[in-house]
Amino acid sequence: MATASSDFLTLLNKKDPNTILQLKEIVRSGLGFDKLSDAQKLLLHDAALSLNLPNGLVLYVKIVLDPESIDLPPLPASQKETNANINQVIAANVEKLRADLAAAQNEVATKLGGRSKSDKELIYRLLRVAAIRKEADRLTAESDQKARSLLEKIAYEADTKTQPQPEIQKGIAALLETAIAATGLIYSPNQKQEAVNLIAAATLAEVENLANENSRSEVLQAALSTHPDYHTPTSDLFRQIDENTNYTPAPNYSDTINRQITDDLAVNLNKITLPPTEINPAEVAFSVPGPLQDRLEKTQVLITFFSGKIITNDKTDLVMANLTGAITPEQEKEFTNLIIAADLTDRIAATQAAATAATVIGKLNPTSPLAPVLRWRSMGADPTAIQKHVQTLPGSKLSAFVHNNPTVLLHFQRQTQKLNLPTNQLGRETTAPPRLGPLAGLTNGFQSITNRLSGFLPGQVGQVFNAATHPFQFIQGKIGNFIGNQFVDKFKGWLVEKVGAKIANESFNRAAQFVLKEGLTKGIEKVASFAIAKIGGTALVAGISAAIGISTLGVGTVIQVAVMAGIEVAKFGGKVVMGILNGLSRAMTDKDFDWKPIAAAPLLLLTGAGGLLGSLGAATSVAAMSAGVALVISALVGFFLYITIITVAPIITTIAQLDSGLGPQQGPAFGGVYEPYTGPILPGCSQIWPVSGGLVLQGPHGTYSHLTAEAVDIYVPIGTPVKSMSSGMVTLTGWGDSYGNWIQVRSTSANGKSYTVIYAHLSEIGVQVGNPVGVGTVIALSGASSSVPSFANPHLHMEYRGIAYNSCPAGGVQVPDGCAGAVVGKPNACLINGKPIYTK
Amino acid sequence: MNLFKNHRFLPISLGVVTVLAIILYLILRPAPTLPIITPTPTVTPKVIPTLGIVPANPNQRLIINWNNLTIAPPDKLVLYTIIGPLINDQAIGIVATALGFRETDAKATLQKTSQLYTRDNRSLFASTSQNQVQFADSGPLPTKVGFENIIALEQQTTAYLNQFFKNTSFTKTDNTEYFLGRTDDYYPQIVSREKANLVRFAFQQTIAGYPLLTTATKNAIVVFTYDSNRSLRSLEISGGYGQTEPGQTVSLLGFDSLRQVATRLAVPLSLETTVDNKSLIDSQLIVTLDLKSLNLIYFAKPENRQIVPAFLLQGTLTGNFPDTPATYLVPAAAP
Repeated sequence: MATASSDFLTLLNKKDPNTILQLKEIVRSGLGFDKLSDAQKLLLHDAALSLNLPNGLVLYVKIVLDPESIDLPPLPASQKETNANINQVIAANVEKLRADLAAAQNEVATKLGGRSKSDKELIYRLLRVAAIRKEADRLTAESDQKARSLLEKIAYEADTKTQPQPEIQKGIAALLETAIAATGLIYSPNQKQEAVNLIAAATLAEVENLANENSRSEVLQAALSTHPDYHTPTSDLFRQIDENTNYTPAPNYSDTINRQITDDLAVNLNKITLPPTEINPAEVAFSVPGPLQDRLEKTQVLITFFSGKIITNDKTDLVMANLTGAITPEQEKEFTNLIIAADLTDRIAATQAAATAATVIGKLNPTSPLAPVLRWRSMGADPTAIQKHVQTLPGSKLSAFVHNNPTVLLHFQRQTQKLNLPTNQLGRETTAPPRLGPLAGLTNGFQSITNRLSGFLPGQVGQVFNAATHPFQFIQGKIGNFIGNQFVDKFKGWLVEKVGAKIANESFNRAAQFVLKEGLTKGIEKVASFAIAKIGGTALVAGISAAIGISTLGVGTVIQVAVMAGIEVAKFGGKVVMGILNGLSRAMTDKDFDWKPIAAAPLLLLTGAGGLLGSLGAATSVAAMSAGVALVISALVGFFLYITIITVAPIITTIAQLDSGLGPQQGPAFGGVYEPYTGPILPGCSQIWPVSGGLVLQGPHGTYSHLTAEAVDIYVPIGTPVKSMSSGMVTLTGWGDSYGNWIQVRSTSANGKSYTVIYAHLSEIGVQVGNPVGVGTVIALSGASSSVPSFANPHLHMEYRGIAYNSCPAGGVQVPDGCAGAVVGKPNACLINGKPIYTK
Repeated sequence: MNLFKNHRFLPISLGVVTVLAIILYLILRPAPTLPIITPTPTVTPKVIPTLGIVPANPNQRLIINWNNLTIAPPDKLVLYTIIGPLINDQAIGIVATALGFRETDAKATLQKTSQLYTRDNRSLFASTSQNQVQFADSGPLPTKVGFENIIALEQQTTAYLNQFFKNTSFTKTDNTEYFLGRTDDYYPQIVSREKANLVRFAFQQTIAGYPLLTTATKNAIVVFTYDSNRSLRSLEISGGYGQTEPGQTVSLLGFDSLRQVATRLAVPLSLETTVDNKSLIDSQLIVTLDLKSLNLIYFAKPENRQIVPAFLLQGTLTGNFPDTPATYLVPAAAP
């Protein structure tokens, strides 16, 4: 011992004489390794490396168990005995784990029931693989790297062979070597072999205990994330297990639930006391006048109450997808193939909800719009992983597809989040934006060019130019303003209070009964007919509705209602209009007018009047040249607005949501409509840039990180002064998670709409909450702050909430929607006329 | 017209006159004398410490799935005041020198409490009023991946901390993260240690045995990021204290009270998400927190000086957006 101690001390002295003193302090402190300070751990690591020991822990064990090695008094005999007892404790614990393993295996066998032997074997094998990987992950940097690598290798190989046990044991033996070194215990060869057997059993037992669903998901996810090759069989098997253990019955409206819903609707709606929080109408999905806003609020509360009680209805998903144009079969097929080809590194396991939903796919409704999403999920695909892929590999086929078909990824994202909800809420609606009409691209291109041109023109000239290039919106705006000024104050309240409320009350009970009984589609037709019959085709209503300037950013069910209501309007009183438009349409396309896109017009109108032309196609572009036709369309659209938003939408939305198990129809409350803004720059916008000398890296809805954000990123050196884009008041400063240091400024647009401007990733914040700011006021210095690492990419993130970015763009320059990157020649880069966009 | 000639109008007219007389009486009668109230001494209301966090969407409502989690906090805890913030002029000078900046690298700032240095791709911002330091090196990232000797980097980090803040102790958190970053990437991706060219260490401070959280990256006081060449690529310091002073002792909410007030008082501390998803989350009117852990901590915003106890609710935020790890705070002091 004396010799060994001397050698040890000699080696340590060569390292640093002071180290010995510190090691003695550690031993005398009596603290466990995990209780040592970081500095003490680092000292141990450093010393261990110089002594060719694996790590600091090993050295710690050595000097604690053998204090003589550093010239400290030996351990008392009782302590040595305690160490000897550790073996027995391990053995006892392992026996317990063995018993647990047997119980777990029995449970698996029971749950798998009549599954084939090969299925069972595969599941067992995958679980073992996951177990070993998990065990390997548990070994931290303090562990033996060789043992860890070996385990990884064994884990991989084990999954490809039928008898992995011997190799697992090899890995365990390597682990044990580390353990022996770490604990300082002495093993005979027999003891060692027994320990290997016991630990191997314990390792398997730990993760093969399938009693806990969460741990089961966790181990499978660990296995799948490491080796995506296994995703398909594992996901399928996983789903099959869940199908047997967590089977959810098919959607079924029981009489009890029906009665409960209708009774509670009728009785409780007016009893609900709203929370005292005042909701800003400009910031909620629906911006409807007072009484109906109140009704909507109450409805949302009620829906929240019911959402946990209502069973899924996949039919409504299908209806919704058809009406809103979720994704086409071709898109689905191509996206599926690209996901497979992309070899995503961040695949995930199938969720429990997806597993349950497999029942819906396979047995109940193969055409459900959930089908593609579930298929992608069962492949292990994850929308976040795809988004990352798009960010990191912008040139890939998958990235190009996502860029050209943004609604597909959006659909995937939204459906995925629904799938992650509890299974009883599965099957919620898709809220993907509607497809534009067949000739929308051409029209949008025209509008995009004219919008950009108008952006360069000053004040009055720009307005004249807009009037010339966007006659429809211009005329509609003028008409709306005129009628609004004349009548809105007199008739708005009357319309809402008398007509709307009366119809709503009468409609409600009838509709609730009918929809729940007959289904959503028929119910909407019924209620729309009823509402229209009550309202009549008053031209005044149309004009006033448009003039009121009702705005909604909600999508989904509202679109559906608009579609159905629009069709009903056409049936009821739109024959003359239909004739005109059919004539125009035949002249242009040899086909009758397609009513579906025009029925979606209210939403498109509200997201920017230019969208209406896009939805109607070139035929309407021609029609829009005629003020007379524009008047007709305006009246028709106004009529839709009235029906959809004032009277029918709140009722139908409620019913539809209840029918389909929807939660509240929120929509992007702050204005992210996820649709390109193709209208002109609105009057009254400032023409300055928030930072000088920057380069625009990403536009609104950009594929890097702005898919749902009305924002631009401007690459600019840290410390560049940031100027306010608008006049208003500072409403928030501080830390905004992924936004880093941020400032929010509340402003009001020229037409009285309230909106928020966000400046993010700042370094210095130069204003406080409550400070007024004017256009051009320096409010901050740019930076690179963020909880998501962005230090390699300092930039200013400027975002609007409440209005579309390109309706009031910085510098008066509309940035191409969806662009990301600023490299000339790269597809989808943020360029204008082929050149990068620099800020002045 | 003489209404009184017609018998039918007489009672009506008399009624009208009576009503008018009553109205006139009510208007013209002298105001009743109010009793004199002797003012009583005003009791100074107990000030309940607040967290000072304003949610991005104050209309958003939180639903919490408690998942049978519970907590047994102590009856009382002491409030603390930071009398010496971690970032002061001396610390800024040491950090700037240690990171190789000279006075000639200094640039203009908006306030006297801030300092900014830039040279080539490297920049350092520090503010005593924000109690923050941000250092970033945006130069090209190395293509080499893997961190074989993480201990050496930990030693380097300890050396930095000892140099920057003498006599102040920090605890390294467990969530060391590895990233693969490319120079033209917007955001580095989280990867395994073997595939990474960036590593991020986070450090916390504790007070009275409880971790001190703040609004910052990973809610940590100090965060270092190194590249695979062992170069420091970013340093984020936010909040933290050099010296504190104990203040009043406050009673804490029990678990039952916490459950009652949490939905109303919980404020989001951090969401582990991207700009895109945060924008989406902020827009929601209703979100649900699926609780995974519940702890008692101390909290102080970087620019605040008061350290207050709070319950830390960690879990998964669900709603009309991708599931997101999230942390919420509920003030722990009982009203």
